[in-house]
Amino acid sequence: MWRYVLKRLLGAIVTILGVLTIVFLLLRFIPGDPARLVAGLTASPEEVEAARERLGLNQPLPIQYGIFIGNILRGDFGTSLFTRRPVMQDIVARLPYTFQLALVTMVLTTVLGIPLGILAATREKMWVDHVISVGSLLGISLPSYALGLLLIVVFAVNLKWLPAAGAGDGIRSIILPAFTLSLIFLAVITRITRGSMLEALRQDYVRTARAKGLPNHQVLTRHALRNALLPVVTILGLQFGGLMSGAVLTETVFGWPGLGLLLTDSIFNRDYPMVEGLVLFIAVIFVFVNLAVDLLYAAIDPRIHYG
Amino acid sequence: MVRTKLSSVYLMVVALVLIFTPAAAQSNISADETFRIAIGVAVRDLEPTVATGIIANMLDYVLETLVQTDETGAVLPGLAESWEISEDGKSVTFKLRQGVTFHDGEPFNAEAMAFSLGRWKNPVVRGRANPFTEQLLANIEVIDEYTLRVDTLFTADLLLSNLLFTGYGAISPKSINEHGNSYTEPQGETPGASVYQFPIGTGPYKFVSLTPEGMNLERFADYWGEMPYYAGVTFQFIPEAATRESLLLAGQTDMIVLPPVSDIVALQNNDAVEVLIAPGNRAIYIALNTTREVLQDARVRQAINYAVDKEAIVNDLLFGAATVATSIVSEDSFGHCATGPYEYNPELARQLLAEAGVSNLTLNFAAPTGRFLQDFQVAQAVAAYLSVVGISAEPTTSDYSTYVGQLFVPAEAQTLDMSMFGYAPPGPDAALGMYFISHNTQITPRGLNTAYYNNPEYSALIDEAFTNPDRNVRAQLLCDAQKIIWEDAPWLFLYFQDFPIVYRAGLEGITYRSGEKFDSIYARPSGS
Repeated sequence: MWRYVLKRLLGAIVTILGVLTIVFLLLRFIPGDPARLVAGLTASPEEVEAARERLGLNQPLPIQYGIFIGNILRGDFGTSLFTRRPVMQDIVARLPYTFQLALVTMVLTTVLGIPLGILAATREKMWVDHVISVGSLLGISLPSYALGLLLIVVFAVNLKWLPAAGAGDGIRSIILPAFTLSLIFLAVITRITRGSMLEALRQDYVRTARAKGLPNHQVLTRHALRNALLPVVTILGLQFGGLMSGAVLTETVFGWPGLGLLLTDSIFNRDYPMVEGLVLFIAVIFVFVNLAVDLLYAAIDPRIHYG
Repeated sequence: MVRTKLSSVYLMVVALVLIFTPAAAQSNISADETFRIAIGVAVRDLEPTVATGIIANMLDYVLETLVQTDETGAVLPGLAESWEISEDGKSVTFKLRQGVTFHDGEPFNAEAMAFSLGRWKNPVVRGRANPFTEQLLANIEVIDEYTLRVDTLFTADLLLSNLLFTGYGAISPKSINEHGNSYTEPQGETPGASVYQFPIGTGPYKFVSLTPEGMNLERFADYWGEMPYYAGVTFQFIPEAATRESLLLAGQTDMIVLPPVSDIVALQNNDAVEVLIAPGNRAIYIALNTTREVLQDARVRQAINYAVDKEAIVNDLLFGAATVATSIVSEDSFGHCATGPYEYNPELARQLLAEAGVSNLTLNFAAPTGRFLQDFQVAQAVAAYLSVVGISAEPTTSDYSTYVGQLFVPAEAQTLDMSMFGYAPPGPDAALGMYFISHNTQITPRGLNTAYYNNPEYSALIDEAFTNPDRNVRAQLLCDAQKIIWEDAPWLFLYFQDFPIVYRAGLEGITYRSGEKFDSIYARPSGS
């Protein structure tokens, strides 16, 4: 297993390098001149050139790229073009917010989504199944923007139960954004669990289990669910990776100061080092989440071994 | 087996959530003593010399300048009790207020003021040398402990007007290497570096912290002037306008700026809140590319101005939150004189186009989205009005940085015929409102004259207004210049964007200052 992990980690370095190269090139090919934005709109051409030189943007691309990769290998992720502070400082400051929101969302999604999916599968084509299916369709279709504002108006403005926005009120602040986010993921998880459970329930080993006279809940959890869980775990893992890279719309609506807002702000301002630092960070998280998911497979399905 | 494993994973996750949650709860100042303001910008950079807009407005609570302004744009005493202008109008001698201390306990004096102004001329701080500032603050001289003389290559008027800008505020010289701030001089090959993110000024509030959630300030016990009522001020960063509005209606903030414009009327009818519409100085206009052959004819440019119903756009798209332009500069600018508006007259527009021999005109039009109030919506309405008089100008849009990239190209490479922009000058003097966007030395890509407008007579009037020491003569020069540019119509003149402020009912002392700024420093519950 450790050899497998090591192999995967080596592969991860190649992936991350690839991602960084693509981001580096994309940023430099989209229109918009950071030197002009940093120097100011009424700055003279001399000032713009001075800014370009200070930011190292006057160098040929291959040299910029070499400096960029070299710095990262030395653990220097650069300084923001605008604040002139190390980008990691801003990323680390926002990490707890993103992490909390991602965790609470994942918990809500999992504890609600999997049981609902099982329920729908075992009551296939009955009214419970239909209600859950229509409900999850609604969940997928509702834009988080609209849902978020709706929840704010109901629970903050009218009922005055919860904070409308911001992160200053501890666990109470997180309820509305986490619920908004999880409703979308919940729909996905419920549908996947349902489909995957239905498939498992039709397998011979389930029939055998029932024939042996095992009680229904044991058939469901020990035999069917365990086999049905693999695709669900994969999706949950990907979702967690996605959530850790920030949920831009939900963060915007709720004024939640996570990584998503920082990333969009930085892209719009052409803050190259900040975008590069964030993408590096997000890529690393994705790689590790994927690895964790693969290792989890072995725990769920004893037939899977990483030799 | 699986169940036990999964449930232990759940437990771990729940435990992790609990461990990380307390980090978010950090405001321990009781809500009834802290005044909360929700703004739409997530601020990360507090360096005063580059702060503009709302960031400068936040810093106004912490930093003070030599002079200050009010609703009308008048120049009033600030850290300077009084000043004297020299015979030639090129020097201002400031008598500084005594007994003023910085938030770190350092004394405020001429030395400290000269140091703060000097930062504008220091390439390490600004990352560049700014030719405009070099002329504006040509020489800064400490006369004695409380007397400071500033010589300018422009005029005293213009100097004073510029000094209203927050970035010229006094900071404690000692603070540039304390509280996490750092400053290093350049040495040989290594360039110097300046990071100033913990501002130490003389204002009624002192800076406490800047977090991803907001900025926190605390009342400064040794403030020289009137003490504010609230012990603290918290700026909450809430990017979405509808959310800011909800926050206020839910009673979770005390004041917001820029609510959704479509809700202003409803807010005005809501007894729980008060709406204050501050007139703004941000000109919203559409630059007409005067180098394009068809647009070289002033009649075509005037036709475009007559073809658009500005009044209707302001009422229907901006819900009244703007003032139709009567000149290139806002009405509270020194030297403003009403030269317009171009009334809505599509018939006259058609006639002018016919005289110019123009028919079936197609113009390439671009506007940003989400940068100025209702920007792209207004661009679309303009296109609809133009189509009535036979001009096809369907607007395209992109994000602001891309858009700026599109604007900053020389005339020969410019593909746009019409481009929307919004400009707020650095001070309430018409010369400042005109110079940066229409003087012929500022033609893009050199500056922000995006119409490529080149009228030497006009530019000469502005030059003279920059240097003539006589206030009355200046006002006349500026008025003449406004008349010229209005006739020339290198822009489709639209309106000046207002600055709406909404706060909860039962408060008093909330006001605004000229130049898109709120002022709640002396906010207090009514009758207290």
